[in-house]
Amino acid sequence: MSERTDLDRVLGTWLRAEAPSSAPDDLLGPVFDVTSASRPLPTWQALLSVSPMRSQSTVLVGSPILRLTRVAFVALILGLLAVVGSVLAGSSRDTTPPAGIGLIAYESGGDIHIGEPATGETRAIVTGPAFEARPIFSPDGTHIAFYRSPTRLPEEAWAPATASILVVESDGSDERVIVPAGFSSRLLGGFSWTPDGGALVVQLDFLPNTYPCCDGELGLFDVFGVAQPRVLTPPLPKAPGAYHPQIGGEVAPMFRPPTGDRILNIPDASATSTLVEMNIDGSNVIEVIDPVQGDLPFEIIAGVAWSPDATWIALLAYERCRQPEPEPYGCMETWSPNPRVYVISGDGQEVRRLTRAPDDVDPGRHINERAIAWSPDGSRILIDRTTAEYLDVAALATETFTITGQTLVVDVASGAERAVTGITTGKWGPPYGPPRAGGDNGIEWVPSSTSSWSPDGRSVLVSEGPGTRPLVIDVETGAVTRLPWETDWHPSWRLAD
Amino acid sequence: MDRALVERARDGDHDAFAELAKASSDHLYAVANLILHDPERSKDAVQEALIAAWRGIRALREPDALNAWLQRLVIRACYRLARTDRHRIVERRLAGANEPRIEDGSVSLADRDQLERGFRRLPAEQRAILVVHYYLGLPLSETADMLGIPAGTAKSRLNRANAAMRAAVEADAREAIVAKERPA
Repeated sequence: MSERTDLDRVLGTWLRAEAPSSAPDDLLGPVFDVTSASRPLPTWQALLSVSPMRSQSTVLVGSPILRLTRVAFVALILGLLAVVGSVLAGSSRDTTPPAGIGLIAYESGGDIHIGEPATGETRAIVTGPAFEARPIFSPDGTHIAFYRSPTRLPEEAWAPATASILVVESDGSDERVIVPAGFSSRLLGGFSWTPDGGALVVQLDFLPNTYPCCDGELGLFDVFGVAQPRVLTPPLPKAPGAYHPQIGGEVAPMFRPPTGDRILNIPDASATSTLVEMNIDGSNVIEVIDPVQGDLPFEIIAGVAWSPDATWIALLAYERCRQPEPEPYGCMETWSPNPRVYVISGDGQEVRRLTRAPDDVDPGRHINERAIAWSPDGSRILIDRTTAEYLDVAALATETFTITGQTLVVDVASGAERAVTGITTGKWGPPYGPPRAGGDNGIEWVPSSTSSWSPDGRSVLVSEGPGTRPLVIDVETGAVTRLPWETDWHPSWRLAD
Repeated sequence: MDRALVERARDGDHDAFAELAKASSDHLYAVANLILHDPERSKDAVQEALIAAWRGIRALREPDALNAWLQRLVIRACYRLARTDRHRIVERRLAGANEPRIEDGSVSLADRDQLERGFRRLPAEQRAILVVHYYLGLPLSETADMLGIPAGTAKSRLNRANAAMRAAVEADAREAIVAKERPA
């Protein structure tokens, strides 16, 4: 059996001998129970959901979705005209109160504060020598969860032995430790509330915490002390594109509204990046989409986020390769490293690219989209888009490219885009990205800035980074209010009174 | 395959679809069982594939492509099941216990044991490409189409699967020799 020719010769014979000659008698009954009670999908839906063969996948070229792009292109032009109008009309901004409704929790100087954007009033609710950070309101607005660490040093702040996660009432009282220091040998990564406000979901990242992040597990921690902490997902592989399905440190968008009893997950991003939906205990797994087997234009999925009414899922997708140059700046094996935002229907039947950003066909230009955040009514999505232009394509060195960035609101139905920040351009330089060169509408886009929606969906909150005053930008009028308090990263807007 | 039957099913005739499903189920189950090595999950895979086929049958432009399409749906379902339940311990039924086997004198019993152990060690993707290429007998280009991967990927995956099989079988043979030579 050690000869190569022997193995090749006998493999077919052996497989034919191994194959069972008949199916079990009870195989077809359940199939007919389902199929006799339903009808085939209409042709256009069927073409998008169950493409017959790879060789026929080109039928998608003539599919309704792609025909819609022509209509969407016209809508895009109209949208861009609207954006230009908005920019021109925005010259008197930075003066228009009120800044918004509700309350904003934020970190400043290692303490947690609550501010009221309408009045500018603020007060500290958690203080002390320790370093507190990343406050997040519970869905009902009654509690705030946050990190605590004895040190602010980045390499030590989230060490397993010292970092913890706590919850307080929204006035700072009744402080309780939810994830104690030393609970896990994993780094404490991003965390979020479950939709019912009963638990925190925490990323438990492997050590060392290599890029890309978030390749550990998700832990579920009961806030009110009834259930034991438990792990939701198995460890994910360390591989290109192997992310937990989370956005910018948030894990909430993976929970299906309104109850959060089902979550989205990417069980094995190193293989085909199939997106599945499952119970939070990992049972009842249903495939939503399989990019490779479904003949979709992308192969790898990163962040995913349910729309508020759970009819759509937004995701970051790495499209099939169109650029000639190799990694690290061009294509990985068969896919582009530069994600685009897609939306798919909750059942996986309809798939389309949300934005109309140009394809990555120019070796010297790479466009990335990120930071998906649905508006409260589910009609718009907030994204960041960066474009890297290489000055020396042959060298592809980090010192030789400029990067431009912008935060945009995109209409889900039409794809029309509206600028929230100006376009900022700078030459790349470590460690924190390009030096600011000034936005063209006076509002700078900052690398790694964070943005979130106001509870009424009229404004977005943009943080420009540690030690800056956050901006509240009205997405319709472009009016900008700079809040009177300096915050560090990740202010959190209370979404319920 | 009866083209008229496929066309009727495509028009939503469930009886026609049922006929097609009955005619295909044995073959599809064999494919699934070779890839998954688990009778229950193989059944799940075929059921999932047939339901998907009914839902999507209007996308099937060419009736003659039905068999290939069904095979592809089954393989896709096998991938999904293999991924979502990869840690499950599969209890393989003993050969011959319940499933009739085709006896073929060209493969010895010892070789079969080696092949089976080697095959079971392969990941689902490699088992699938061996099944499609050697069991279904498709050339490499059609194997790539069946699996939904580029031809180059199919070629390298097939090479890796063959190499893994060979390594597993050879390792198995070495273990047997060492065991024989080990003093009692």
